[in-house]
Amino acid sequence: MLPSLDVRFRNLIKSVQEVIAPTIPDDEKLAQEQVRLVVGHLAMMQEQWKNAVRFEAGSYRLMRELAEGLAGLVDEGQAADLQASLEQTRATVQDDIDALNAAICTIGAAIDRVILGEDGRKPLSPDAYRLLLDYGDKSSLRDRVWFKGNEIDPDRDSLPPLEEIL
Amino acid sequence: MDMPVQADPWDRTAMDPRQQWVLDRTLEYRRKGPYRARTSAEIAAMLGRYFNHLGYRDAVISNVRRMSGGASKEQFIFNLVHAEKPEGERLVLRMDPPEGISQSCRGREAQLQNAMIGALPVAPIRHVDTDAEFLDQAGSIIEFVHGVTEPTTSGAKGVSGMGTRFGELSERLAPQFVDAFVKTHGLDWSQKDLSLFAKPRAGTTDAALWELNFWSGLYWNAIVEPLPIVTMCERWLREHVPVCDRVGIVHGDLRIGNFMFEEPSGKFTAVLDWELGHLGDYHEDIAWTIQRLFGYLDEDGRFLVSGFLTREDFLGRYQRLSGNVIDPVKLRWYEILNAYKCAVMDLGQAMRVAEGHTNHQENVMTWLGSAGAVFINQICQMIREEI
Repeated sequence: MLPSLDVRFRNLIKSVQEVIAPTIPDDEKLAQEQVRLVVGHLAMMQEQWKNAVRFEAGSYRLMRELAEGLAGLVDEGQAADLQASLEQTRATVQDDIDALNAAICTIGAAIDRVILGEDGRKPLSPDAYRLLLDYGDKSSLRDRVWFKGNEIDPDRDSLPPLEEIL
Repeated sequence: MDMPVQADPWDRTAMDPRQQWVLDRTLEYRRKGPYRARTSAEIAAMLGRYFNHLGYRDAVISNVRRMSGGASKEQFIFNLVHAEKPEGERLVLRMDPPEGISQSCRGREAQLQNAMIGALPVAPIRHVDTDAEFLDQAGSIIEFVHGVTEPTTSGAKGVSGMGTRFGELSERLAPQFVDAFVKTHGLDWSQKDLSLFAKPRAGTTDAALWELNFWSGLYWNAIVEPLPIVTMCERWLREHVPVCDRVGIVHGDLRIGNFMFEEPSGKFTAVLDWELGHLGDYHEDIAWTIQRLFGYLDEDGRFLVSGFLTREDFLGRYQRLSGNVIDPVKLRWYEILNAYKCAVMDLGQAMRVAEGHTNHQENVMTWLGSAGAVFINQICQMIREEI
């Protein structure tokens, strides 16, 4: 593929930094801030694009595991709801990022219904809470690593390398 | 003595009516579709019409400049010359885009700022168009206040002041920072015009539940992709909603980046951004400002609240000066609520705005969205300690 995505990302960043940014007047603060954000987004996307499908597939697997685990901790009707979402998404193509995202939404919506438990009428057990927290620890760690380049995370220096969370 | 009746923690309708109005208006604006950022010429023309309507004779608007910062408002600085003030003056237009990272009411913001005059330095509000009767979007005209939100030598380039280091100014800023909380929470608001605010009942869960319901309403209206931890957090909050013993003014976003000061004196010139202000529990403000994101670790590894004081020092000074007692159980509930609010803003509302293009700076929305996992992680850490 010529020209490669890497080359194009690098050239976009160079163009914004060296051609566009210097033309912005000193008193156009919002435009200056936007330029910094554009460069920041492009730099993160340059790091992410090769692994974007793998990352989304990992998010899908985690969501699926959470639904499977919760199904054993809730009542029969709620378990059936979760199982239906799992069945509906079982054939999700693993290299199609849009299909993966759609599957995450389908399973996630069933999980949300279980968590809310008809607005508190159905209990959420301590074991279910713990399972959700385990999921939250794993998924938030992955997302923080994925977006480490934004330099907002106060603990970013202690995050593992991207390869470890894919 | 009769005990007050507590609301059902799952009653999603328990909310300040004006906040429900904000949620409804958000959906109304969203339906209008993508928003295009206004040019300076369009803003000047709109302001000219507005000042003429207000009765200013021979009003001329010039030198309109966009201001940076803020993830929820469009702000412009401009010159106004008119017959009664031929020498002109610098003013600020603070206007709603159709949607931002949070949603609020310009009229409420103006009432709160006016209520604080005399207690704290605030930017005087000149005019408010709460319902966008004359401006393209709801907005207010504010007098320009001199000052900076970060030292000009700090080199900070983060969003909303995050990451700012104050250096030698810290000693002068820290007492004023604590004083801002003391004065806000200590204000006698009973005689102020706060007609756009409903009053939660002291001794009940109203204050906490109304806030939770507003933010969960914003989330469920905005949701782009289900987030189990956000939903779990909402459930935990409903199961543990606390009573508010004393109802007072809550700023809602009192932290680094939301106060202006002069250089080199360090004297506060304005406490900014009252848009999330409401009547509620002071623990909410305290829990907001002690978040990790709004401070940093010093060279000894100690966390400094807004870069000024250790958590213990901040809480100690606040309690001593305000007379308010910090209840650790309530503080923890509000810490979790605040992490929830941040997750709702970053991963709910900001993502909806970015997808719908209903803001003037969607790049900020997705940038903040990329930080949402920080709050998911914090929610997990805090709730794990509670179960």
